[in-house]
Amino acid sequence: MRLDPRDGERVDRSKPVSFTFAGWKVTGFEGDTLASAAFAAGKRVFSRSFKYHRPRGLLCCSGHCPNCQMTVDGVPNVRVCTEPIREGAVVEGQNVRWSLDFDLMSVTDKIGGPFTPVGFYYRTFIRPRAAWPLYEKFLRSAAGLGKLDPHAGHSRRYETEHRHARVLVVGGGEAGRKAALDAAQAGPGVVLVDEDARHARLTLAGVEVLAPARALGIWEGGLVPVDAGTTLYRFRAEKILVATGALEQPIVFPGNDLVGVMLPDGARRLIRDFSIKPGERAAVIGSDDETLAIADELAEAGIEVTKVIDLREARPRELAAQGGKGRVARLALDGEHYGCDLLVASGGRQPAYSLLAQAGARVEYDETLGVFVPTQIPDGIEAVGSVTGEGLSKVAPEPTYPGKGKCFVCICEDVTTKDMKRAIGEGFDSIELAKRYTTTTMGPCQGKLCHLSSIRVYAQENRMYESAIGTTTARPPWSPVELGLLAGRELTPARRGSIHWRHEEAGATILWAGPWKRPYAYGEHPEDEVRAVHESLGVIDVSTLGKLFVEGPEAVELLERLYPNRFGDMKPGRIRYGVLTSDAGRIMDDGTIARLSDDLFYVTTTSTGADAVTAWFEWWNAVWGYEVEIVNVTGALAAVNLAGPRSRDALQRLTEADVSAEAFKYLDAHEIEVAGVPTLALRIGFVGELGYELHFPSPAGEHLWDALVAEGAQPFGLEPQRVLRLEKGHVIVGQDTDSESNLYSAGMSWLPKMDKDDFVGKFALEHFGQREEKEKLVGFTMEEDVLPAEGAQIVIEGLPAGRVTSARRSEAVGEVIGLAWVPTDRSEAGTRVEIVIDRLRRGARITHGAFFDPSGERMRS
Amino acid sequence: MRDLSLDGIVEIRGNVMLLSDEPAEELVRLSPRRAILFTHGDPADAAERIRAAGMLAYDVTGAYAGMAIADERVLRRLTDLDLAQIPTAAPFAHVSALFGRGADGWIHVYVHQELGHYVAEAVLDALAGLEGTQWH
Repeated sequence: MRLDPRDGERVDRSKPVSFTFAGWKVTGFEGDTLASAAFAAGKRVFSRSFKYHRPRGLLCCSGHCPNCQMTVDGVPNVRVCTEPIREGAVVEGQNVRWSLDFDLMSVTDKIGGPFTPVGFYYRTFIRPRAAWPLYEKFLRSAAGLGKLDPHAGHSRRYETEHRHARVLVVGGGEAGRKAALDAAQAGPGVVLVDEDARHARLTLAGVEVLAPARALGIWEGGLVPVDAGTTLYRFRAEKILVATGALEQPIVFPGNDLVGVMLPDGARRLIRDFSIKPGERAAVIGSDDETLAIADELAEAGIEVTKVIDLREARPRELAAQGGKGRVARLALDGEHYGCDLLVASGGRQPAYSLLAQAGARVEYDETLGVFVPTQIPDGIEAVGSVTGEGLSKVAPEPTYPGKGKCFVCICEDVTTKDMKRAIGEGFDSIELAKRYTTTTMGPCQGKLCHLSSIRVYAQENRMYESAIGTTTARPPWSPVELGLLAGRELTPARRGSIHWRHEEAGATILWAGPWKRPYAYGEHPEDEVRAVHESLGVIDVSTLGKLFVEGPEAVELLERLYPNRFGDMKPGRIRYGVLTSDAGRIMDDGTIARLSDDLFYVTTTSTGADAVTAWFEWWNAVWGYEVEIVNVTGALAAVNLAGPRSRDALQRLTEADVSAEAFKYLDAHEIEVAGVPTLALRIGFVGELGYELHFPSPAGEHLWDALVAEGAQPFGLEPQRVLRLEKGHVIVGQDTDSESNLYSAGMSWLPKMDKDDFVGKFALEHFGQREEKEKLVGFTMEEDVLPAEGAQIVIEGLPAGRVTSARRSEAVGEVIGLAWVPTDRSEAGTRVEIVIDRLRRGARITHGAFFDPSGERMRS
Repeated sequence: MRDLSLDGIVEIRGNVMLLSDEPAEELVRLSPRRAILFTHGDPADAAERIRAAGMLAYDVTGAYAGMAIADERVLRRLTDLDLAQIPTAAPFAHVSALFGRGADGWIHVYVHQELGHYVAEAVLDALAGLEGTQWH
């Protein structure tokens, strides 16, 4: 099948390359595609069609049609007509039962036609409704494209690269190359992308050439993603030149999908690039000089041309491709038959305007050319070459030709002219509706080879002009793209505090806590860490807390208006617990506010709240315009909580400052030096023991941590911290509260100062204060030693009545304790409720206040 | 890639349009009233100098992790920023970053300190991609 060596052939006959094609060993040459090598080896069937499982052979050899989609080395839907040959590749058919040449499912084509018209699955498989999952499984198995292995790992490494260009030229044909060179005359920054692998070695002065690479679309703002195999280039260009050319269109006649029916360019590529005879006996059908010229080229390649039909001169009453076993054997023309194993047919070229339409250009029917052309091209985009219709000759094949056999409008989706007529008959009276019903143009070619045909058929059946029918909306991607390429590299931002590696070294179990990586515990028994805090000394890394400086002469005014709390009466060096409420009075975040001087406050937030609180502060201050600066120093400062009865002694050994109970009282904030590190020490106690929160420059994190551990502090993680805070009944915003919780329902009615003139959420809080809350956040203890899950249901009189938000087993309390939302009328201390645990109801008693050290003596000592 | 995390960093609030950077300093204006100063000198001295000029200045040296990157393709794989726009602020590897350009032409990227390790991993991974290898 190979011709003698020819000038310009791409193959290197001195370098054989072997691979497996549908179980057969095939040898081609370097420079071949998988398809050209297989074709040269005598393979003709490359796929089975989507619905009818009809055999399909090479049609366009350009990577546009669906006919050569195969699974290559496990990757489905690879167009082997453009996939370079490679040693050892395994190429397999897809959507096939048995083999490409003999597909058991092709029975659908033989007997299923009358039963499987367009949309049949909407109508046939609806009863009984319960059987739909079974139908669905069968249909998905019987029809479709390749299969993805859901258990497969990453098959390739995909990259995304952002590019900026002055001029981006899409298309490397004659017009595109000329436009690129002209643009390069004006300066650098010109990039040309083209899907043809032959352009990989193209050199143009001053132009960067990317090939093979497909522009997938033009998005808003001129974003042009370009598929270059395993790299997705995201181009933004000052100017986009579209030179996508014009695409050969199939003619719609019976048997137009048989193996052996090819577009002229497909036959040309086989001959010119790979020196392959596409057939032995050929017939040619065309309506323009360019198509008909293929007859001479075929003859020159030694192919017998049995018939040439110029549709400009002839109006056949019958035109059909016929044959057996899905392969063309003859052309039937007005009662005459012409033997051929190759039928080259084209209805002319249609400008490939899709990218321009996506960018906002209008697309109008050009009566003089018989095709659709782009008009009113938006600013920043230019069309050059045949995509504008330039250089095209008038083509006007009939929309369909009569004859016996299936006549395909859309070979991707197996949509026939009969299907189109049926859709129109059923009332799908616009091309957009018909597209959705029949799925014409929605297959892998994305309308490249069927859009014009479907419009012509639609116009014929509706007795309308093509110009009145119009086109369907062009949407990206213009070409199929691998999902892996769209997904790109997986990047999951992880925040780690400056002491993180000490935790790793200490063998801590690290878990995600919002965007942070934090230690869960340092050993198998978190309760040991709890005990250390109660009895001796513990230290926890709390660098994740949000930390803000609020500074300026109107800092008090800003904070008083943001928080329900009062701050004007605070003396420098004192701390207050604060809760932020939304405009709707709901709890947003909480933390401490330390007044460091008259004009300077240090605000802490929850670990996940820093960015949101900063934005909240800045947003409101943009409205109010107070003379205040808000500086987020979350990353600049590390923080640890030193807690336990020995914490004062330990701290004292590391500082020259007086940290005695008299000099450093509960809720004091002192700027001191600890282990030589300037530190803001806050005497507060989230975990309920005597403790100090030390905030200091994060570069000194490991140094200070080491110093505290050397003093005997037991590192403790998030889990022990959660037990300790629960023993005190301290709330975690976002866990114990939700977007509906307010200060009254959460048991913090003491906090809002309603006599203040105004603050965010005051109006809503006034309303809440006047009504009875439906539910309240309370504590509970379990009657038995069983631990409810967070989120477990509270049941009262057999009905769901609330939910558990936190629960832990407390060694210090000697019981399982927790927090829960319950109906207000069941929130009295001592009330018995039931909690569902492992589907069983277990008794619990409502409590109020802290479970451990309720008077707070240990914390204040 | 070079680690710049030990460079001094000062956050400035006030009329930053009046400021100019001294030798061995780089000023990135984020808004008319906010700027970040990167300095090879003592950030405390820089902050004091700026406060003396009537603005607020905070030594936030520990707040940012910095790295200098020579290969622009690495940057293009992690940010959609037009590199001609540097110095500026823009997303980098899905997180907020400040960009500057060193005298040697290397591009300086600063991210919040707590994201430094993650970003360094992302840069190394992108470098590995350029070399056709898997970093993980």
